[in-house]
Amino acid sequence: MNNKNVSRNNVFFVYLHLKLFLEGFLSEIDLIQQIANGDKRAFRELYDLHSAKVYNIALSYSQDVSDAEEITQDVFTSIFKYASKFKSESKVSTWIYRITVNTALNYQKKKKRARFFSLTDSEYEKPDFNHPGTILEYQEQNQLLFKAINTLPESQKSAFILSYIEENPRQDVADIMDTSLKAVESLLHRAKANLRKELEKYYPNRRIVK
Amino acid sequence: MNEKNKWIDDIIESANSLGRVEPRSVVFDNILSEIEAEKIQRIPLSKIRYSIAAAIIIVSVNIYSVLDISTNESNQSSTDNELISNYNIYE
Repeated sequence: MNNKNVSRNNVFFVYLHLKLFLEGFLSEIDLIQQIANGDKRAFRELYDLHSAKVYNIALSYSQDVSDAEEITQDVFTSIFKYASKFKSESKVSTWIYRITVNTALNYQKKKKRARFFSLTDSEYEKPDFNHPGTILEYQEQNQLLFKAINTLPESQKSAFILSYIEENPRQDVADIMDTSLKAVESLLHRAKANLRKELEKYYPNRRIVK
Repeated sequence: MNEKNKWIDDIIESANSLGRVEPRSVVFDNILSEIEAEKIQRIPLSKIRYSIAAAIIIVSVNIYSVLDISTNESNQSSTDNELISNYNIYE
């Protein structure tokens, strides 16, 4: 009798989760459709749902607060502009984070080009990045981590940021990067190996805490 | 060696310690004003079509008048030649 109740409860919970998931999925698609019709209230709702994640991804790529804000602005302007072109083949969040990754990478390329052509900034070296979400205890570790992340190739950087900093499930990372799960795992493996190599260089100059 | 590996592992794992941060509230206002500015800047397709049609009309009128003038000139020059060929007006 007890077993029957437990299994009935399990079925109910699975049903409830599935219902909530589908409701969430459908309501986000509705929001996109409303935005495509120029509805600013729906746009605000979507912004409230995703702006923090978009901003944090942008922050990890740009390692600069004002650049991250600019990237966030560009991402949401693109969402408003291209909402009518959204195809329901992927999740709304996947679409948004894909736009974020592409915008952040393009922004970095644009900045690099500008630096290359400007004579005054030719010997520019980026200062160590203090992530605003850092806990004081991990400040130095986070600074070194971001410095090392900056040396990674684009795809490894994306896989690492989306998996380890943003803590997305691997399948979601694969969907955002428009690649396979296997490819993401291989990118993460290589990213970690390259990070280790880079961090080894900083080891002799480490701060020894007694 | 172990100490070095632990030091590196700790740094990589420090990625999990990062807290989530929110963008400033002014960001949304900036997005809205950017959207409005783009709306103003964007030229409607109908206007572009009218401009293209007007340009085609102007260019074709110009071509027609240039061709017309040149044919008139050639006609005129041939009659001029005829007139000039004979200077004996009082004969």
